[in-house]
This record gives sequence, structure tokens and C-alpha cells, in this order.
Amino acid sequence: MQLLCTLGLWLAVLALGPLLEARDAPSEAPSPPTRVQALDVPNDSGHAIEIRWKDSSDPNVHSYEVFRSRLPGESAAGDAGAPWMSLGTAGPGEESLTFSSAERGVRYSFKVAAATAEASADSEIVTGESRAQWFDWNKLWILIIGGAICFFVVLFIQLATRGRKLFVRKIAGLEAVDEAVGRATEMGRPVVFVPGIMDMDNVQTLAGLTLLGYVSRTIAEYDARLDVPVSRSLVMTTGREVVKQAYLEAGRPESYNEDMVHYLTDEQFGYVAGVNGMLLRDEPATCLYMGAFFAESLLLAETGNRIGAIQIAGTAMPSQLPFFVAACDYTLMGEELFAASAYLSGDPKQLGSLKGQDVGKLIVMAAIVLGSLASTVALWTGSESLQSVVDFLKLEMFV
Amino acid sequence: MAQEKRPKMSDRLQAIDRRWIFLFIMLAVVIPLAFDLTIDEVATPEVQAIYDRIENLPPGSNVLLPFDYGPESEPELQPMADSYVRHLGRRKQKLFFMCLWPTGQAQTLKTVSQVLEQEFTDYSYGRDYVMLGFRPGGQGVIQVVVTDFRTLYQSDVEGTPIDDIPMMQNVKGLKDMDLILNISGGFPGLKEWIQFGGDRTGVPVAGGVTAVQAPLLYPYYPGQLSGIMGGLKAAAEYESLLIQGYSEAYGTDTERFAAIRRMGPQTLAHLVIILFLVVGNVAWFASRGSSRERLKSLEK
Amino acid sequence: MRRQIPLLITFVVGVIMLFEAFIPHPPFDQLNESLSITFDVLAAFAFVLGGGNLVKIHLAKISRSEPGWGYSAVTMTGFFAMLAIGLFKLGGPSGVRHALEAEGSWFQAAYDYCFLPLSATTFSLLAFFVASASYRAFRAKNREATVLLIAALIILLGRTLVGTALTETLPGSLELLFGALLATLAWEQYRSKRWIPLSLIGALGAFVLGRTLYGYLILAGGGDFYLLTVPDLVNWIMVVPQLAGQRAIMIGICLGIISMSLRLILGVERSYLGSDND
Repeated sequence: MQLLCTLGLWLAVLALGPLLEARDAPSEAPSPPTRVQALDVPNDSGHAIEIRWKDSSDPNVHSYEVFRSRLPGESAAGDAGAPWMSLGTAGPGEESLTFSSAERGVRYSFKVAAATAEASADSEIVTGESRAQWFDWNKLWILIIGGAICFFVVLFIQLATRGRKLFVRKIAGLEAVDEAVGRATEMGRPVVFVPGIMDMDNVQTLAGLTLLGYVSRTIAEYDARLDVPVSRSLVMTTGREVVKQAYLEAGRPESYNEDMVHYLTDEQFGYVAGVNGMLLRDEPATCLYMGAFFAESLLLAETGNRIGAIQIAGTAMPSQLPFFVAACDYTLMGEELFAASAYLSGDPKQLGSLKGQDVGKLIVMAAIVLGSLASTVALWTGSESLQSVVDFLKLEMFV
Repeated sequence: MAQEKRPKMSDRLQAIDRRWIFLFIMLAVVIPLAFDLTIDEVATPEVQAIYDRIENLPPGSNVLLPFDYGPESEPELQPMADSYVRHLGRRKQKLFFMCLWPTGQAQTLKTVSQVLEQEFTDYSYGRDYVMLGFRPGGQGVIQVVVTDFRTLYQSDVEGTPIDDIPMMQNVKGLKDMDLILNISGGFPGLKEWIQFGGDRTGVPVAGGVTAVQAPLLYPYYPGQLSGIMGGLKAAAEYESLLIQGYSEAYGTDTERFAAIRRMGPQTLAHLVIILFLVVGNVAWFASRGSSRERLKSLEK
Repeated sequence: MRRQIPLLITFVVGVIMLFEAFIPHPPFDQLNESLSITFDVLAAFAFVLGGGNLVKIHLAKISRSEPGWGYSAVTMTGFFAMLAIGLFKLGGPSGVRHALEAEGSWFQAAYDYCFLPLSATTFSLLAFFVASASYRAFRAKNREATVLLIAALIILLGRTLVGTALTETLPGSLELLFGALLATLAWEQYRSKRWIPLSLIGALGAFVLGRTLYGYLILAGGGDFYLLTVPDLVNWIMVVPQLAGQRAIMIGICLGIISMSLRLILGVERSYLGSDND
């Protein structure tokens, strides 16, 4: 028994020895960080707490380590049971660190340890919790400018319903749709309509489908053949409804056939291969590409060009526009695609929305002119007040 | 006789059968491949920016590598993926692989098995790198992992629970990453990572895309995007940066750098296109001139 | 009625989602996420419709022996083969827990040895199509097309390093080229006696000439002044005119999306909802 006790004592001394030595080391513990605060990060859903402290003036401090209290039941490998968890370290001179994965409404304790090469000193313990906010003030200007544009769109829709005449510039590509469909009828060949390769949650697909409505009404009137290969099932079902309605409105419900709108595959290049095969075999007289496109744009349009079809494309994918412009007869660029259904329908309400859009353009133009002028003059004169205007525009209004 | 032949030639050149163009392009691609023609690249600032950012990350930083592309853009993008992993491996960073494209997982595996496991034998799974794999939902996935990976990723690709993976212990959401290094072949891709990932969390985003997409992403550089690589040329530039920066490891061995080898065909193909542009325009002017002459002679 | 309910749903959800962007507080913070997931679930179920349609059309083609029915046969073979391989996890470990791409699975083999090369082949057609499309499109037919052609040539040269080599061996060559272009323009203006454009072009020409001479002199003296090179020009085209155009298109697109979305939310645009009559 005595032997065991002695052995235990020896072991304890052996284990504690290095620790005692460390305490005896000549270096002193650094002065701990002061003025530690745990603040809720604003404008979020309540998942972040910012821990701030005052940089210790001690030149030996090489880092700060921030710790948080462990929640009951929370465990981590290796140090299970320890009451504190490290959140990370910050370099000397840094005075804050954000705990970005906090549970909402839970009160955590924090402490900051200043460390030198040999020793470290803990700050006082502070507590803080994260709360959710009801408004994101960072987005105030988005709300104001976006709200203004929306207001003008709605205003002009209202004005248009009251019978105000609105001027809309000619869009050559849309003027050509009737002619293109007519040509297909004369030649007795089909019209192919591709509504892009994205699903129904993409607004370009919606724009494409509304256009399909107008195009298929013309096709029904001319009694031409329509072929709509799609790459998404939901687009297929919606497309069918649209085409069916168009044939009804044109008074030719008997010519409508469900399989005009048919599914190929979700896979991008499988779809391209399928459509290209169709183009080469059926040799349609007219190809319309309206929607969201990626690398397939040129693969489709160049094949269409080869078979001599009249091609009209429309997309809001800036990277694909050059390909369509090079290979198609007409291209609707970006906003023209969204304006197309309003333009073709001639419905004053829809045309009114285009007018509201123009007010948005005016706002943007004014901001660009103001910003460029202010920035240029500020650069020349070195005026600080003008620079602050530029900074406001850049950092506050249009982030 | 000679005068009659000239306009015919220019007309014929104008309406040249496209298969001739295809043939020349094919030769431009095949010849440099056969003779192993390579050209030295000089890095552009936007490529250098990515290299420098990785150089300046402290070892052991968390780097998220979403591989959002498929086999169709592999020739352009796989060299970027390999280079990133080589560079990050040399800098001893922690790698988190994931993908928004179903095809991205196979591409990840390719880089992991051919680069990481071959060249960095000290890297162990779960401690230094993890493959989180594919989750459907496009940009929706980014919106979820911004706050918490565990909402969508209860386990990794091999079915191991996330909480049993050591390097996932201190990682909750995207904010715990130090860098997002995306490689994308379309949608969802780099743009979505900027809009829904980087902008929301403040984590720097950089990455590579196909040459076609690159102009679309330039507006985000250098504000929301720390660096951008467009297409094979940028990939080759990055590889030459790696060869310069780690010459003791890669100095003589260029065999593994695919982009540099592939730039030969690309350069020659561009030259062929330039040649055709010039020929096409000369023919066009010539035939315009001759048609004017013809009109005049008709008037007479 | 058939249209009223979807319109109402569109309106309510649209308005909520508009506000969601500005409210970080729950439940709004999760809304976008849950709706995206819901959409994906719906889209996944809808695949049955698409797949069903594919099978229906192609089987009909085969049974009627329509022209090109052979292609349909290939499509159907591929479709059912992949369906079987995927559903029964042929070749690899079976069971829900195991990944489809596990070692040795036929699915992975089909991916590696069929899907991958086929996709790459289709994609690489682009190289050929870009060449033939640009051969047709880039003709100096009018002033705008000429500007486009010159920009395209500069970018192509810059991408090949031939441009770099050219301007490195002949420093100042770009300036001389530009000067020549200005001189032709100036001559045209002089002949038609348009003095204001002439003086503007003259000023620009003097600047370019002065810059070039200065560059030569300083270069000879070993200064750090540099002359224009093709890569500089490429960079300038990409960062200034290209970016400006790209941004303008993007602003237009954003405004277009706002107006289109409002039309959808307010029910002004309803043709996508299909028929009302039955």
C-alpha cells in the first residue's frame, strides 16, 4: 500500500514538474485584452455574434484566441468535456472576431486570451446572444430604388389601361416572326421552337413560353406544322397548355396535337444531339430559339444555318448573344426577349410595363453620369466631399 | 479569260463549303498534338491574383472547392482543378470538395485520385480533405450551406456521418471557409457562388470558367471576385506559374500539365481562324469590286 | 376559375418573396430555401411525365416503322438499359445505402465510356462551328461590322501570342498602324472640308505621334515608358468597351426581369398559364 502511495506521488511530481517549471519561467504573462464585448451582428437571421476587444499594448503578444462556452450536449472530438471551445485566432492589432454559427437566442459566454510565445492571459468573461432582425438595413437602397422602378412600372400599366398612347420602338426580330412562319407554310416544312434548356423557375423560360403562345397562334392560323422539343418535363407540360390555348384561340383546336411539345432529355449535350438530328432530318424552314441557352446556342444555330432555315433567337444570356448574332438572322438581345410578349400582344397594360422599365433606365443613367462626373472631378481636384459622394454611390447605394 | 476567272474564285471563296474550314481546324488541332508543340505562357493579373491569394493563405486554412462542371468541359476545366489542388496541397491547406452538378462528383474523384492521392501521400481523408459530394437544388444548395452544411450534408460521399469526420468538427457553414475556389462550366456556377455564397458571407470567391463564360464574369472582378480564369489559356498560365513557383518540384516535368500541352492546338486553331477571317474579307472585297464592274458593264 | 387560383398563388407567393429579400427574421430567412427544395421535388416527380412522353413517342415511331425509326430504337435501347442499370445497381453493391457510382458498377462504366466521350464529342463540335460561323459573320460589310472585325482580330492575335511576338519585335508598330488609320480618316475629312472632325482627329494623331516618338527616345535612354502591345490592347478591349457593353446589356436584362416579374405577379401576363376554357 505504502509502495503504491509513493509510486503515485512520484508520478504526480513527474507529471506536474514541467507545469511547475513553466510557471517558473522568467517571462511574465501578458496583460489580458480589455474592454471585451460580445455584440449581436445586425441585419441577419440571428446566427452571428461579433466579439470585440481592445488590442493589448504588450508588444510580445503574437495572437489572440477567442473561446466560447460549450452548449449542453455539444461535443467535439478530442477535447470532449472541456467547458470552452476555441473559435479561432486573430493576429496582433486585430480587435474583433465573428462567431458565425451561433444558435439563435442562446446566450453564450466568451473570453479572449492574449498569447505571447510562452504564456497567455485570459480576459474577463462576457456573455452575448444573437437575435434576428425584421429588416436588413444594408438593403435599404435596393428597396428604395427597386421600389421606385416597380412604382413606375405599375403607374404606367395604370396609365396605359386608361388609354394613354405609348410609343414602342420597332423590334426587327419580332416583325420577322410572321414572315418566317409564312415561309414555313409555303415550303410545307415545320417550324421548330426551342424554349431554352432551363426549367420553369427561370424567368427566361417563362418569357420564351409566352412567346411560344403568340408564335403558335400564328402557326395555327397559317396551318403550319409546329415542333417544340424541350429538355425539362415541367416546361413540356406548361408548353402544351400554352400551345393548346393558342390553337383554341386561333379556332383550330382540331389541329392541336399533344406531341407537338415533346420531351428529349435533361442532359445538355444529349438534348443538342437530339435537336440537331431533328433539324437535319426534318429540315424545318424556321427555327426559333427563345429562352436561356448555354454552350448549345451555337451548336443549334449553326446546324439551323446549314439547313438554310430562317432563324430568330432571343436570350438574356450575355455570353451566348454573340453566337446567336453570328449564326441567326435576327436576335432579341436581353431585355428585348422580355419585351417580346408585350410587343407582340399589343396589350396596352403590357406595353405600359415597358414604359415603366424606361424610367428605371433613366434612374440608372442619371446615377452613372453623376458617379462618373463626381469621380472624375474628385480625382482632379482632390476634393474630399466629392470623394465621399462617390463612396456613397459605390458603397452605400449600389453595393 | 483570266479576268473572268478571278471573280469566280472570290465568289467561290465566299461561299466556301464549311467542311473545308472543318478540315483545316482538324489539322490545326491534330498536328501540334502529334508533334507535342508547346508555348510558354505569361500570367495575366486576374490569374496571378488567384495564385497570390493561395500563396498568402496561412497553412491549414479551409478552402471550399465546388466542382460544378461535367465531362463536356473537362478539357478546359480539369487542368484548372488539378492545378488548384496541386497548389493547395503544396501549401498544406484543408480541402472541402462539393458539387452542384451531378457530373461534378466524377470530376472531383478524377482530381483526387490522379493528383491528390498520387502526389500528396501525406494527405489523409477526413483530416486534410473531404468529399461532400453532390446535392441537388442548384443555387438553393448554396443558400442552405451558407448557414449550415449539415442541413443538406448529413454524410459525405462514402456515407460517413459528417460529425465523425475530424475536419468537419469546427465547420458549420460557408462562413467557416477562408476561400471559395469554384470551377464551373455553366449554371449553377461561379456567378451563383458570388451572389449567394461570397456576397452573403464575405468569404472571398475566385475560380475558373470556360472561355465562353469568362466575359460574363469580368464585371465582378476585382470587387466581388478575387480572381478569374477563363478557359484553357488561363489554365496554362496558372500551370506556368506553378512551374515557376515550385520549380524544385515541377521544374523538368511538364508532362502532367495538360493545359500547357493543349495550348498548342488552341493557338494554331486561332491562327487558322485568323487566316480564314482575312481570306473571307479579301474575297468579299474582291467580289464586291467585281460585281460593281459587272453592273457597270451591264449598264453599258 | 382554372386561371384565377394560379394567378392568386402567383400573386401571394410573389409578393411574399419580394419582401423575403429584405427580412432576415424567421420564418422569412428559410423561405427561399424551402421553396427551392419544393420546386426540385416537384421537378423530380415531373420527370416521370417527360420520360413517359419520350417512351410513348419513340415506341409509336418504331411500331409504325416511320422514317428514321432506327434512331428511336437506339434511343429506347439506351433509355431502358440505363434505367435497368441504375435501378438494380448492376455490377456494383446493391442496396439503398450504396452509391450508384461505386467501384465496378455498370453505371459508372457507362458514364466513363459512353456518356463522357459522347458529351465531349458534342461539345467539341463547337470548335468547328465557331470557325465556320465567324468566317461568315466577320465581314467588313459596314462601319460597325468593320469595328467588330478589327476587335475580333486583335483579341484572336492576343490569344495566340503571335500578337505579343509581333509587337515585341516591332515596338511602336501598333501606334504606327493607328497613326496610319487616323491619317486616312483625316484625309477623308479634309477632302470633304469638315474642319471640326479634322481638328479632333488631328489632335488625336498628334498625341499618338508624340507618344510614340517620346517612347522611342525614352526607350533608347532606358526609361520605363512602354509602347502599346497587343496584350495591352486585348486587356483594354476586354476591360473597357467589352465590359461597358456587357454591363449595359446586364442592366437592360435586370430591368427587363423586374418588369416581366411584375407583369407575372400582377397577373398582367398570363399566357403561360394556358387555357381558361375547359
